[in-house]
Amino acid sequence: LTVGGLDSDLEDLYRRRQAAFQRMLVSVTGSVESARDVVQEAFAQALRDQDGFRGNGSLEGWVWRIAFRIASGSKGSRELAVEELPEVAFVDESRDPVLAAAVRELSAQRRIAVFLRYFADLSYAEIGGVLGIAEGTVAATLSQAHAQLAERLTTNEVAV
Amino acid sequence: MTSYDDNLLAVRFAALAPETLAADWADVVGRAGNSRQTHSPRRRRLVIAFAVATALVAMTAAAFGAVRIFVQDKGFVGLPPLGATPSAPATGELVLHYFGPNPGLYGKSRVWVYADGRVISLLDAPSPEGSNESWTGVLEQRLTPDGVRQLQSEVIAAQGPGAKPLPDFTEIEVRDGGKLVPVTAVRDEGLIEARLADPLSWLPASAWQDSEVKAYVPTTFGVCYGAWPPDQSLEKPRMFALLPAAAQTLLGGKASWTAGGFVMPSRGHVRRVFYYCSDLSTEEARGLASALDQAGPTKKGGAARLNYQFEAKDGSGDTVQIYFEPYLPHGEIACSVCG
Repeated sequence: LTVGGLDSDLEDLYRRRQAAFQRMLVSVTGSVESARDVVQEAFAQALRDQDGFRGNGSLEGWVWRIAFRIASGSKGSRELAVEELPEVAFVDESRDPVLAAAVRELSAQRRIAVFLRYFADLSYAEIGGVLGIAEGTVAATLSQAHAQLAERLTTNEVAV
Repeated sequence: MTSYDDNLLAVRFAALAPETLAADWADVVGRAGNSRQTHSPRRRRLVIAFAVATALVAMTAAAFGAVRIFVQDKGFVGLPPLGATPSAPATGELVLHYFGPNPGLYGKSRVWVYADGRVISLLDAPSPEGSNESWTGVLEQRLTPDGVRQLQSEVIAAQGPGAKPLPDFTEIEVRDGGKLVPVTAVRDEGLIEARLADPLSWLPASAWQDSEVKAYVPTTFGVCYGAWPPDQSLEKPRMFALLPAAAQTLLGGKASWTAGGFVMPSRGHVRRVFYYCSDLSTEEARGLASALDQAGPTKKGGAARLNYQFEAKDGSGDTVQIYFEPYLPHGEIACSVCG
């Protein structure tokens, strides 16, 4: 937080991270244009509703949850419930069909954790903040996802 | 994970990342409109008080950090703090190696035990002595000669009649009869994993010369570079040409060796991925990292190991990755992200 309130923090967050928000949200909305629209709207809502940020988590986590709610088409200004988290998928699977197929087999929670890790470049703690789960649960979820991906990928690719 | 480590997945995801559209903060502000609430003086005072408190905490932490930088009682990721004394001796004979689960925790544990008593470990799990919430960095403790023998004997005795094959992704090697041999089956897998992942939990105090956990400080780093997509990665000169100029200057005169790769069907072709690695002293590695820090647009990682990602300078849009791994006393680099 800065002395000037959340405005400058949100602007700083936007300038640093809007591309990561877009990359991740393309996996939810299916197009870059709609993903950008969600990002713009999420930050606008965050600017408008600053009292909704209670300060008991990270500012970025709060904006992620707003963005997911918008992308999921949820109504109202409340934050997204965990069970309302959106489905994610690669938009262009043809570039790495083996990985895409392996990722499709992950459970919804593992898949979104993996996408948040690699597309949004979030730490375990930050992923926990977005998904509303403990950091240890994130680590366990990603560890299980890694193991599942490793098994699937080593089955379909030949190690040397 | 083994070959499909965190970094490799990151690179494969990066190859699938969609292009993004330009930022426009003015549009965000416009969408927010004029209905934004103004904050009460009380809220503003609270925010100021919180900011001051945060600054004080940060300043205090920084002051303690400045003192602690020479105390190597916690792991670190990346390059060692200036002034940190390297682990001695620089080389050592490996007598035991464990790569497997952390019973009771998540993630993987890697433990290397040396004839000189050093127990070097690396966990991708939280630890009081760890570098961050996800990785400990490479840590060091020291056994007595008897302690080393007890640990070796424990593993050797765990084999034999009634032993069951170890699961995939668990690797144990033990020096037996002068040779380092793989252990493929044990009688009580859970017990041996627990004992190897955490020798401090069961070896008697007399087995330890120094059980206090410290950071392992290497004398040499393996600095490896590779590219994604991997079309151009087969030949070192072509790979080398993709590096930032600063890296070319510092790595150009160095011999290199090839790290592992794999064959995969992607975009209709079978491809190999290689990383080319050179050995750099800590000071050379520090110089390279400093040059890379100044080399222009980059993505710098560091939760598990120091690594940089650059857009290849040939304009292809490909990604070049350069990562730093500490050398262990037996002459291999630690695979910090394996697991």
